[in-house]
Amino acid sequence: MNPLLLALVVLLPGIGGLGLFLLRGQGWRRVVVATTLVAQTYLALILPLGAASEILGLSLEWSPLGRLFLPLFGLLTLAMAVQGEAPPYGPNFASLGLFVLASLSGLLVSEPPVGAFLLVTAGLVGLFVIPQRPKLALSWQAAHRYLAHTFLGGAALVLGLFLLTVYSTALLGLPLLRIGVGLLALGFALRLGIVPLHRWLVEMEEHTLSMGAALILGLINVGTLVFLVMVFVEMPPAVLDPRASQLIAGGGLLSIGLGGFLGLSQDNPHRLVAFSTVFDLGFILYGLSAVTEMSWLGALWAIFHHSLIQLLLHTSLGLAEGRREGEARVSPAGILGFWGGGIALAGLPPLSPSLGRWMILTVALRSHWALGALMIGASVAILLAYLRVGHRLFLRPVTLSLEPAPPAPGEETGLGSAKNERAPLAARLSVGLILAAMVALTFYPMSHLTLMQQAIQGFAFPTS
Amino acid sequence: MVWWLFLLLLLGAVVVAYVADSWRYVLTGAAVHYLAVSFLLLGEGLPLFGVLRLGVGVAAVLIVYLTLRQLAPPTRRGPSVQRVLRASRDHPYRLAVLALTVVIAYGLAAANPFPGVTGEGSLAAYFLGGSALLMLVVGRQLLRDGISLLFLDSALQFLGAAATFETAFLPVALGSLATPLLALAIAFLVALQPEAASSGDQGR
Repeated sequence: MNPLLLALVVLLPGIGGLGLFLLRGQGWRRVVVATTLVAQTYLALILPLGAASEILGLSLEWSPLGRLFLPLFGLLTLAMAVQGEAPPYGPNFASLGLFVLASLSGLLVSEPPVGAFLLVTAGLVGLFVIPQRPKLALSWQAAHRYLAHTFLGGAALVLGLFLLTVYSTALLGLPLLRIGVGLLALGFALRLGIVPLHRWLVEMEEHTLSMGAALILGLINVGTLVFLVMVFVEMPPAVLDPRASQLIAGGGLLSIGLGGFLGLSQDNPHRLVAFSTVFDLGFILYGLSAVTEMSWLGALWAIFHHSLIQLLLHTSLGLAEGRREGEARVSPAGILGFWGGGIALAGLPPLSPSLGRWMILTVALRSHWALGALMIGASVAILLAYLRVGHRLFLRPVTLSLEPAPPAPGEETGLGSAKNERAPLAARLSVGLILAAMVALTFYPMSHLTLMQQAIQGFAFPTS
Repeated sequence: MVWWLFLLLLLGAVVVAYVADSWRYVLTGAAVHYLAVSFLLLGEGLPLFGVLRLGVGVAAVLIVYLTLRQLAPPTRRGPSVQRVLRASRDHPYRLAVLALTVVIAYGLAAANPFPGVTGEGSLAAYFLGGSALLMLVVGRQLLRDGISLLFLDSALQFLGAAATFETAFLPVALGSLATPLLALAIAFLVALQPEAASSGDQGR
């Protein structure tokens, strides 16, 4: 196996993104996006696990996490690029998606210190999708806040990794090592939008077009979560230190509680999606903090599905954006996607996120019944919120109460920028495929679970 | 002795960037700070990284400069650029914050120098990072916030290059990509700021 193939995995989307800047014809642009993503996915599937190469001091290694997440990221990028083709997304939306994919691909194959810089890069690229014309002032403020949070988070990660790399596990008690762990926790919390640092996430979700928000929450944030797992596997002090695991568990539980119950009080669908995202992140963090094989498998399963759920929900919101004021027509794909997302977030079968959710819930119940009660209560709250808001959003004529300040009659619905009379076929197809994939993964989860087990194989769990 | 000259150059550049009311002086301060950091990297025995930092810094400053020049052509000082950087009367406050940062950075560098980095290098990193964080906390203007982020990035890149965990060129060069991208993000938001400020949805 040529070691340069590994470098090609990273370079392909970058080259594709640059190519899109030069091409203007829509047909050619589609060809470039499809070719890039198919070629990268093919490479991701054929590269043998453990393949490694070194280029000018940069060590690259192909891990099970890469094989698991890179095809997923590729599919998501494709779905977003197709849906973001039309106005108001602008011609460079697909390029930005490919650049994010290139950064995340680099993150998946390189060592954590380099990965932290690539995460910063991906976060910075994500900023360009936030400001949008219909609500420029608000989205500009959201972008400003996002920039500060994403960069400060990245800086904390870089510095934390620096301290953890320099000090070995044997020096666990040293204050500087603890500072390193604290900086890592702060960095991830800032970057992911964990309670109480979630404000940027809510603002961004509320004022960004659906596919833009999906790019940030479904790709960049999921890349951050995968990076978190990589850091934990390679640097055990980051999670084995009792204070670190308590901090992570506390952030996770706060996010579950606040995300779930604040979600219930939301009328705006974008804000509901934001709070339910925080809620889902909370489960993932709690699963990682518990440091057992089952909880980590549950967390990895949840991370994988976090991406799919984000695409599903934002595609549904995109379908809602296409409806005009007074329109009473039911959008079956929209309501299926929105309610399906709610069911997936609540961890109910037959959708596959339920597997991960039950694994984490089992671990929590073994720890203390109150934790399980909190998780179940918050899940019920999220489910009710989705049923209620979904009903208002899709089954009733578009009303002016969806947004605090209504647009003038005949203009946009208030849910971002209305653009299409008919919902695009790609969005409907995405909803159907994601739901079908989730049902299929419920019954055939083993190939994915095996890869996840391989990814955490090297970690010595204290309780096992 | 030479070290202290570099450190003084850095201090002067940061003071100008944070205190000046004209965006041209602010950007000049940022450019000089990159020069000082490059000299410091030379002092750490890393000439290649010094050249890289200077190149990347010039690119970053150029990106922001070209954007701001478009907002305010030399012949016509339009109202748009005034929104980007308003004159303020809190200079003494800013100077006090910077003086405090110098004291804190000196204490931290003496007590806890970064491993693998010289004392002077640690002082520079602490000062750059500390002043950037403090100014981010007290700042309310995008351009100055952006400059703070660039300074914070500089401190991290300096540590990344000077410390032991990244001695190879390519990883550091990859990390340096974040700098022009950050400048691009700042320029993008700065360019949209006048339109965002005048659009009607503020405060909705």
